[in-house]
Amino acid sequence: MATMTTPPQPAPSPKSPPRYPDFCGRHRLQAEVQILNREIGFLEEELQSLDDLQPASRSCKEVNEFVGANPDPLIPINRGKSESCCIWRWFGYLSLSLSRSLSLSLSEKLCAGLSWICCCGRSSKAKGSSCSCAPPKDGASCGGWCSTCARPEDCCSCCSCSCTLPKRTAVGGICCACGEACRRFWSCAPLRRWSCCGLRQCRCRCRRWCLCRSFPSCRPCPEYSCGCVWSCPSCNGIRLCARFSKPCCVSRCLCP
Amino acid sequence: MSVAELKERHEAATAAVDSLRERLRQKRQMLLDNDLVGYSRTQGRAAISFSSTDLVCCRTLQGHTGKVYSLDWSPERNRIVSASQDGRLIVWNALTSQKTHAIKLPCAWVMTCAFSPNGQSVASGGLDSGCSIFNLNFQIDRDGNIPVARFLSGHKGYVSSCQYVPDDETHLVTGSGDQTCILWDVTTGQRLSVFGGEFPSGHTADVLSISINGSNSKMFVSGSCDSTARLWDARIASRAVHTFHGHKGDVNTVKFFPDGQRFGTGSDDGACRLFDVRTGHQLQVYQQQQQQGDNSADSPIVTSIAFSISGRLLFAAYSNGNCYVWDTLVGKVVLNLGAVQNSHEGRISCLGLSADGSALCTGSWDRTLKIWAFGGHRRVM
Repeated sequence: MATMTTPPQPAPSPKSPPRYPDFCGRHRLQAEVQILNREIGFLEEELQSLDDLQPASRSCKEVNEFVGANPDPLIPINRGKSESCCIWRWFGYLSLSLSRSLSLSLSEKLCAGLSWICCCGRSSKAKGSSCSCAPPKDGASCGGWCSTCARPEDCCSCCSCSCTLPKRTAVGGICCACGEACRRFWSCAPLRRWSCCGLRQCRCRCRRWCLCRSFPSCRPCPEYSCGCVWSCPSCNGIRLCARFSKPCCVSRCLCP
Repeated sequence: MSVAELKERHEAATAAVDSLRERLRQKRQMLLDNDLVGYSRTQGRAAISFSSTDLVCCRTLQGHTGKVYSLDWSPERNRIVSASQDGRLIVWNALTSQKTHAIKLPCAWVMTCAFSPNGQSVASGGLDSGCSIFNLNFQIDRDGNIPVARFLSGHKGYVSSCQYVPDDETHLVTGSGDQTCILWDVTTGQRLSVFGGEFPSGHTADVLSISINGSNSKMFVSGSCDSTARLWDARIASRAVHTFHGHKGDVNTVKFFPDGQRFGTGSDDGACRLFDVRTGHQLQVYQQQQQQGDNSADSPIVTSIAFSISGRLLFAAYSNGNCYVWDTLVGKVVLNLGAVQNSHEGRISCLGLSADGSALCTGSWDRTLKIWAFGGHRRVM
């Protein structure tokens, strides 16, 4: 009697994991297509709306009319050649000021009161105004940095001199010396000293290189030392980054 | 639908968007029949003429020990709040130069500040990714500090700009490095609306500046590192009303024109531009001609702008220390406040006009603020 032999079963072998379809890519594509289709709709609407849009010259006309109709306290009177007479604008400005408040405008308040803080200039010779070079208060002395005002127009800068020590740096361009202040932020070579009372020039001319040698791309020494700061969620605190002028200037946080 | 079919549709939709944008650009170009300077020339406008003593520095506010980054005038009572690298907000009386408050900030890395409409509160924002609100009437604590009344948290990046909604103490808008703007309810600290943060409706890079329309407080504009400015309707956060292209670099500063129908921008590309809100037209570019041979990488960038109350003057501060006063109708620089007597010694980082338009305040990296007003002679009737 012959026996049927079954072919040997193949040895069991683990199956390969099934190949799952790329759901994320598909869904992302679908979402992007939806966004694009929505954008197409918006753009078509905008294109259609342009048919009724006024040309730029109409907008320019509106700007001209608005500017002409509104008085401006910062603009001199009767300057420029073919301008229409500005007196009506000043009537308008005065009535505007009075209608807003019974008190003076800020500029008039700034120039009233103490004569040594005044908006000097051409008004120094006008009636009713004066500009005297009163010395600074509290015994402060300008030392050798301030001299008497040669012209009335210089009164405001000369009289606001507040340096008490020759080497002291007073901010604001008044009686300062380019020394320590410049060293703090730039490497100045060579240093220049300026006697700037009455003049505004008090600058160190610095070579353009950075104090922070680890960031050779700094040009010139920027914000917070040599680089800007970046704060991001994964950082415990604030770290420096390699570009200047604005935070968030690199795509990653330089956290350890 | 198969992935291959989706990819085809994506390609077709992208091509359709590009084609529509090009058609829009061409159609808009045809509507630009003139610019503001060209039109003003036909009206016989001549440039404003300033003498060197017409706009003078009346006050220098000293007290910060670091660079001044931001300032804002109070709507009333002639006060100014300033924010500085020294980590403090200082509130100044503009007339007397006295400091009424010096607030040490919990996070020293401040970038922006703003006065509330009633002048009772100030807001500040910076690298802490939030906006701190201080009530100026609060008791000073034993360390001499004013406590934070409310901290608005929710941004995922630094807060670059903030402004209260005009005539509304309870709402504030912020712009952020997370590419969004947010409208806040200050009393509850809730985010009411988030503008942007979703392609393609919002900015695609950091928001650096915002300006709310004084004539219609539902509208505001934002400027961004993506080189665009966008107009938003606070009632519709899902999509910008319009996107304004033109600049070739970060838009650092935006400010509404006083009529509320136009706004100005200042950019890293060294130019200021004037755009029309209703039509989207670019009305004018304000840019000094480059000196030949200048390295464009060294061209000064525009850091801050402000319009005079009539809109005739555009004040623009640059990174090289200049502060040009542009005649907006003639397109010429009529004065450089950076070069006059008593001017700042460093970059002017921020500008602001007083509520009545009669004084300009500038803040600088020289640690001071200066107030400028008309110093010429006037007749008082």
